[in-house]
Amino acid sequence: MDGTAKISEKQRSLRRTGFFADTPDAVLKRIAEAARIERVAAGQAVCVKGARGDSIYVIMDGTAQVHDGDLVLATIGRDASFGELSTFEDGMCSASVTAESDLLLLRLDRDPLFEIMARVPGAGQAIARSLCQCLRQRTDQVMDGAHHSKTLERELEIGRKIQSGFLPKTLPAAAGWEIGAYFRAAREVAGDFYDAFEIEGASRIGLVIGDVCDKGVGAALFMTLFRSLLRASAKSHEYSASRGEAPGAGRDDPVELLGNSVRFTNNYIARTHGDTSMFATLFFALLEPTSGHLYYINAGHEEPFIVGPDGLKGSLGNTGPAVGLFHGVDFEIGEAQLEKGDTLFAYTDGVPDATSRQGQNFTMRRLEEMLGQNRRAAAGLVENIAAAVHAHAQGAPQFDDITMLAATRESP
Amino acid sequence: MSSMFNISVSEEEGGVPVCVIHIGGQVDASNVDKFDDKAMAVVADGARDVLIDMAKISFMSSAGFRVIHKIYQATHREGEGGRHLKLLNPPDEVRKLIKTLGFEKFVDVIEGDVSAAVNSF
Repeated sequence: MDGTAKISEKQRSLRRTGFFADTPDAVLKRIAEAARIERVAAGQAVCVKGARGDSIYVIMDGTAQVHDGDLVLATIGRDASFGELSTFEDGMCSASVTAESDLLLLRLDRDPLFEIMARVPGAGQAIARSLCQCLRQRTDQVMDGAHHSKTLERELEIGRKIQSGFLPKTLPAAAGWEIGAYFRAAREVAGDFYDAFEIEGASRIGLVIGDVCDKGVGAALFMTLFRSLLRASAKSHEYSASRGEAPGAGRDDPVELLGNSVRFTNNYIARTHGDTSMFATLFFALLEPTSGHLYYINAGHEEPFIVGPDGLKGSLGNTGPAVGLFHGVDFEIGEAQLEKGDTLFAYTDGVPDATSRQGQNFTMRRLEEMLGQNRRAAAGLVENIAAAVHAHAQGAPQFDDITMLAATRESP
Repeated sequence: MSSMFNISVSEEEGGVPVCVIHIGGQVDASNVDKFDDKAMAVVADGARDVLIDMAKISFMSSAGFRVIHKIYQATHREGEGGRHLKLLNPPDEVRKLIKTLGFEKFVDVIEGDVSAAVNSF
């Protein structure tokens, strides 16, 4: 079709759009006379969001993308029309339209259209009806969208509940120790986790805190995997013991148990899910409650602190890479000693990175200050810090999970 | 330094053809898809050696490191010596994370200008 398409062809094209489907023939003929053929090359913008929109366009050939920046809202083709509302409103385009292929368009400008509405009997009424239909359609779309997002929100809520089932329901109680934990999920699901469990009766306690990379449902799914693999491998002798058998009595020295568990998890994820490049930073400690001795692996995680009665005593640095990235890597085992009154405090970056309404982070400095001045045992300590982080945020949206785990040696 | 995320790709000719990804600003979950898409397009186009120019990054979250690992996997050739992914001029904070997360053992971190880096492949 060339630029001098016949009036009848333009009229047929207009008729096929939803907008002019019911417009009387006499009115449509006048509109067709006023419409011009326009060609737009692939990649060129036809309308830009926020710019004035003075014309209605009908696609006679080719395809175009309706988008808001990088977000593509729809791909439209032959017989689709756009620009109706902004043209009649004398307003701005509500989305951008860019030619995907070369486009052949029919273009109707505002002024001739208004003239037809004023002069041709029945034209005003017909176009008012079309506009109402157009608005009704948009309203339906918005309602559908609201319904859809409600359903999604409900699904996310269910996901969040299931995910919280992967955190321990109760914390181990060892004589002379207090263990405390705090977890507050971000608005979207994310991938922090903590765990605390007894190994071989209560001769050892496993303490884990981890942060799966990235955010969203993917991180949440992997959080359940990391947590389960670590717990299952650390307690494998108990889970595999048959009834009546003493669960793993005297097996595995702590260094071996810890190393096996983290290597197993790392190699499993790297081998089985390597194509996703998902990984977690984590701190996994085996605590011997009677001696206060701690064996740990810090796999790329924020360094946990040891807090004494007189302030910070030190931090537990890296002993290996993040878990799940590189098959076959080794993890060294660190050791530390907790004396009476000492607290092991582990956390995820959601604590120092918590953001206020003014965009200010809680910061490491503030966290270290609070730890240095702390006089409370594990549960009270995490409660204090959680309260301070909460007060700092002043209800600003929480972008990352906030997780803390602490253990205090209260008596020898 | 602007913290607005930006990314561009250039093809450079050293001893071998090297694809250079220039990335700048704050790289986090809100824009990592753009980094991911660009990186995956680069390797799908057959790039065998990739240099990431990180000098203008103000912040990189774990999501960004996930993409770097994807590029590593796509360019790594089992049983063949030599590094096919190199990271150029990361700022101190990013460099610390590269080390902490364990990338240093698998990816070269280098300093200097782009052309010297391209010639190092």
